[in-house]
Amino acid sequence: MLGSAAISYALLGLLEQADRHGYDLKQSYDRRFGAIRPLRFGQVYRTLAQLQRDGLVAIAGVEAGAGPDRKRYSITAEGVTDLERWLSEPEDPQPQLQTVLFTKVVLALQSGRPAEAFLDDQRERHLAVMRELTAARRGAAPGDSMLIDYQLFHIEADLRWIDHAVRRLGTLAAELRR
Amino acid sequence: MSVPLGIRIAFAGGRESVARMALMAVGAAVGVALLLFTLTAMPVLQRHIDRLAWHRTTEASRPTAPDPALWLAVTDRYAGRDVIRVHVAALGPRPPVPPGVARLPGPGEVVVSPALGELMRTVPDDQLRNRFPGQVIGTIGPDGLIAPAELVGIVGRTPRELHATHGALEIRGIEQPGKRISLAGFYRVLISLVAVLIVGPVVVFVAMVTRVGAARREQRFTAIRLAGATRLQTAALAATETAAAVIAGTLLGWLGFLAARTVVATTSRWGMASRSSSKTSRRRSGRCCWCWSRCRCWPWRPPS
Amino acid sequence: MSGATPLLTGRGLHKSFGPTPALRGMDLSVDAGEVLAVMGPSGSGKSTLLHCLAGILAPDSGEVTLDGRRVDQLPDRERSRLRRTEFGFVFQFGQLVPELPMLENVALPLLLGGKGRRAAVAAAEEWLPRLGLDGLGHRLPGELAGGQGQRAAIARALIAGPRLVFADEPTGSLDSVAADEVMELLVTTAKDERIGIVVVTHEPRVAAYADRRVTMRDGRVVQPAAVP
Repeated sequence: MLGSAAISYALLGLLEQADRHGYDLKQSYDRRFGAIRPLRFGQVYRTLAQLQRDGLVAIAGVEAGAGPDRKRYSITAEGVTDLERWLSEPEDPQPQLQTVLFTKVVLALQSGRPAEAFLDDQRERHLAVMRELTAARRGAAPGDSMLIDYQLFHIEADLRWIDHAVRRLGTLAAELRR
Repeated sequence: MSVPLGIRIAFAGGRESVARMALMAVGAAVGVALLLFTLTAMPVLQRHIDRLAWHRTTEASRPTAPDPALWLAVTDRYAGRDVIRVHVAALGPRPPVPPGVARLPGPGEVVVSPALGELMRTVPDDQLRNRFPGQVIGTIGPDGLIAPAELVGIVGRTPRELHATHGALEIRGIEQPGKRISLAGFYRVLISLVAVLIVGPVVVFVAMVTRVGAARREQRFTAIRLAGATRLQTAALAATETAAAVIAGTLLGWLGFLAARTVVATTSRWGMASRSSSKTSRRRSGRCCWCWSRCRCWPWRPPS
Repeated sequence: MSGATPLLTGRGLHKSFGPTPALRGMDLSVDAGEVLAVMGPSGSGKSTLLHCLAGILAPDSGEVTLDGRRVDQLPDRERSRLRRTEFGFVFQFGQLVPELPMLENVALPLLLGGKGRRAAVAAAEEWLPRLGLDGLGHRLPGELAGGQGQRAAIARALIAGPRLVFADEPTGSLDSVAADEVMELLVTTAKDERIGIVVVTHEPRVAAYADRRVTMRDGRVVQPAAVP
């Protein structure tokens, strides 16, 4: 399940591209990230409301007429800064990290940011964590040692995906442009 | 240190390695043996031709004795074999004498080769003995034979008998070896060609054999180089294996050549020529043991 | 350790094979007692770098210094001596001579250096228990398991008391447990004997054993961004 933080930033990223209505935003999100988990309208509006409270998103205009979806949202300067920060900061290894990474990669590619650099930084972070874990494993009891091994293997799996993704960035970028 | 290590590595290589070394040794053996044969063939052939020399005596032969003699050489057949008969009549006390014979047989005397003597004893007189009328006074020695089993006899006649016979020549000397005939040149070229055609494929064979087990060898020498062997050490180790095989093969080939030559000497028509060349060819084969270059024709040397 | 002169440095290393450049200006250093991992995808030039640092290949330009002495331009005899006495090698395959028993393989650097066979083999014998290879000395490399063979290679790398060990994918043909054993061994040795170890690998779990890490791509260092 995509963490709520990741959803917020996904929406922010989409808004950075263009001001949108809530409905439009949901459609765009589904197209790009819906395979992971489709978003409910209620969730979209709740997230937008939170983003607005945090000052990352502002109402750009209100359409006249009936219906709830009359507000057009746009990203603020603070929103852009925050998005940048989130994109460029590597994540700590965690289960289901790849969906977050995938989100970042897609957003980066869409907005013309250096996705490869983000992935490289993420790899370095992963490797640093592996190093700490390996050092910790030395002298650990067999049970703890097995647990650490488990984490190490998972992190290694993440790294393999990262390497793979780096090599496939070109193809992904081409597909996103369509 | 490299040599014992190299030999141990070479022999420890399992079936593949041993097979390769065996093939190389065989190639070397065959090459050396054939090379020796071709190199000594020339002198053998030449000697054979030399030994035939006295058969070729004519009136134009250079004088070898003070007094002349009459000479008529005839070849006919008995039981599928050539029989050579030379009628002679001395015209003075010191006529020319063929090799292997103490003196020219006088009228009523006959000198025969050992094989002919044997044959005459076992066969009815009217088939063979009657061609050699006279008393057998001696046998022709080895110097006068071209093959151990040669059938040749010298019949003594009176001068008057031979003067009356058509074809008898007055000779002043026995034809000596040393006069080259043009055929020697042809043989030289032929044998050089054969030597090259033999050596070439053998060298190629040995080169191809070294490719057997090449991958394993690569691995072996990479490991050795990685452990800090200099290029020289690595090359020495690699060469030891090949060298051991080639040395063994060369010795084998040499022994094979000597053995085969003994057989040839005792049985074939080249026999006498092979025998007498033994001294020079032993010296020569010692020298050619290490020679893998193209065969060059050895200048003929007279039998010592 | 920092602040002291590095044990081995490579500066501005360039190497091409024909028209293909393998190294495009590599800078690297290793300290005594340090384990350095060199990572990168295949084709990034990691192995070429290792070969240049170890004196197996001569770089087209740049320099390699060992303890302040330049070693990249030495003649073959000197470089071979370095390989025998100052450097040790653990490669992925094929560093054991298939025809010699394991004990003699371990003793090979000493034998090539002219030491007598008995003395060399005795020295090799001492190393076997330290690497868990007791009783296997008479087996041929083909009769050893992968992990055992690599440990024998490590013994051979260490027997001459080297100052640096170069490992190129040392765990490449091993399962994870054997790989852990091999890496533990290398790291412990580095600390105990104050040996510098350069490990080329594409496996993160192997690189995780290192004190420092350098990532290469297309013949250049891409991580860390600054010169190590």
